Amino acid sequence: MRNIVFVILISALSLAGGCGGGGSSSTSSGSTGGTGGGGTTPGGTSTAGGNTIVTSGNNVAPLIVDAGPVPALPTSNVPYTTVVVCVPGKTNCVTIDHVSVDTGSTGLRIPATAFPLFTNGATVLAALQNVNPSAPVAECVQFLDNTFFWGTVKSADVKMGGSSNTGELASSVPIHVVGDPSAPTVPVDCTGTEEDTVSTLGENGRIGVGNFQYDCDALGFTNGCTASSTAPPGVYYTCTGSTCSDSPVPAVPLNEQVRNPVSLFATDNNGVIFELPAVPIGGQTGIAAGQGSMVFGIGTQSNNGLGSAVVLTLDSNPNDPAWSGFTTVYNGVSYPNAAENTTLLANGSYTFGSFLDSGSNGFFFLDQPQSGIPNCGDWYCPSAAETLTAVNEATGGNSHGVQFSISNANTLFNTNFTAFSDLAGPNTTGTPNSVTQAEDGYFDWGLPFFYGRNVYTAIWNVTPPSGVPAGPFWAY
Amino acid sequence: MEVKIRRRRQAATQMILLAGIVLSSLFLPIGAAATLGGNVTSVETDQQQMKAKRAVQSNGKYSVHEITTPYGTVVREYVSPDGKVFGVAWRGPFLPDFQQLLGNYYATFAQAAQQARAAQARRSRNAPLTVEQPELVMHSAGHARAYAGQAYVPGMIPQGVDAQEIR
Repeated sequence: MRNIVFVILISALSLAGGCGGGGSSSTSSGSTGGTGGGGTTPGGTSTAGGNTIVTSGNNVAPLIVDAGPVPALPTSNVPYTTVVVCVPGKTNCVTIDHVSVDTGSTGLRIPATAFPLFTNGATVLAALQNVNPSAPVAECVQFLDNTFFWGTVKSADVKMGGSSNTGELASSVPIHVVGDPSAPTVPVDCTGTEEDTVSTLGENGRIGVGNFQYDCDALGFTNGCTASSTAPPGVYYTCTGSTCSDSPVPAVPLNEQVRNPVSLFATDNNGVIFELPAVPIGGQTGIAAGQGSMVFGIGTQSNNGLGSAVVLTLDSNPNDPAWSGFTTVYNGVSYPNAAENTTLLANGSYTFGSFLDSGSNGFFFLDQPQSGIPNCGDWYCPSAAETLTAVNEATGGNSHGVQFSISNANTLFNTNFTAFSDLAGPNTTGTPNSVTQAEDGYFDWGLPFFYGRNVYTAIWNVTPPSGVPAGPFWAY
Repeated sequence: MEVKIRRRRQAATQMILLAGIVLSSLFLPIGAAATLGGNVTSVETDQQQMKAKRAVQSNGKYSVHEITTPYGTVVREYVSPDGKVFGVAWRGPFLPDFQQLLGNYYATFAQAAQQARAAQARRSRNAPLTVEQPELVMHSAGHARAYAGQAYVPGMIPQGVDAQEIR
């Protein structure tokens, strides 16, 4: 079925040119859904890169791209916003800038070392309470590069957007306070290198505004982490004094799990829109304040409608081959490979999808033999800029074309620029280059994808307004 | 490029056709702590630590011990005829405990990851990781909800076995 759809789509597809990271056409064979205002607002918009960018409103937060707050660890293609963290129910607040925004994870994570850098921060940090004061909850989050975050889960009011970043309020949100010298000792099964202070992380925090409300929605089940029998070890811990344990693995009620704050906003709670201007080939200094926005809610106000965006449904059922993303068709080949995914599924294994992720700072896809693009270590380094096309095809039949460019990463990094629409790298390197199509044969559409187009990330299990499809989905 | 892809698919299919599936629910005493490079008894240690179900498949060249954890991550451990774990593979919503899974090779992985971070400071920390050392080859990729990878000891792979089969 998927193969048939793919053939039809390929033959029907024609890709339009565009500027920078933009440029796309849609071939929708299903309902795209969506009403709302169509992406404009009475005041405060700009159209610098072709896409309309809403720049004011209570549901609009700044989105900037620069080298980050730590000169020793300059960042590229990392989008930052500003978050206000308050003691629940109080006016005791701290405004923290340079919090990176990640559509690929869930929840707000702030290094303890970030708080004192801002007015009133130390006071706020000292006043925040654990989500479970009688049996304190802590969490370990591990990354592919063998680093981890470790810290306690605390309850905070989180404000973002509007004037003074207080336009939207999420009350009593469990947040992750990481890299806290006063936190309990790192447990033995939280392994790797702890990198979760401002100076080791290169940012003042990270907010996950992805497709899910709770950390453990990652399990794909509504009872994720709420039953000790099925929760993964090495993630959540309960603490006594300075010791934390995950044996037995604790059941973590949903209201104690680190949560996407957007899902707790009063009405603009069913997702976010990234609105960033186009970035030319070769990069530019960055995205300055006022040039880019994160808009809260999808179809909830006149300024956040789906417009003509094509909805790529993300299946929340782990028994579906497409549960973790969509299929990217590139050079006539589907990634990941549907037949291989079906085989894996029949073997009781989990499947892979291609995905959009603002927390990835490049396009990461395939490897050198599969893509035909020369690599320089962990990046692609073609001798001249290449413009490529692909089609993203979702479960349910919708698909949308993408035109994207890749330049020599070494050349890009030899500039002082921080925003690149043409930065890319392979999923694997070395020999043998390829693991399998299912394992490295996917596309991670990182931040370059987001330049010059408005990208919607809708949240699972949040009731959408009338006329807007239910999440989880991506749309652009 | 296409030829390689086709060959890999055939290899996978052959393995499945050859496989005789034997279900096992053995719970044996805890053996050596190491897994990769260790004895087959260390698979049972992993199974106990992961509170997981186990299924064993054999194809004449090696056996595959598949450990399915209650939280969805599936770990496959590849055991040579002489009872040594020469490769491991994983797939699922959470990363496995690499210290447990890689055993004595964890230090090699940790050092290689550290070097990769130092050399590629600008690359995202959740970008895929490749380790290419004489004693350890490892590919680790994915994102939240969907991680997968393989690790093996090149010198321990039985003759006639393609490393691509470790998956």
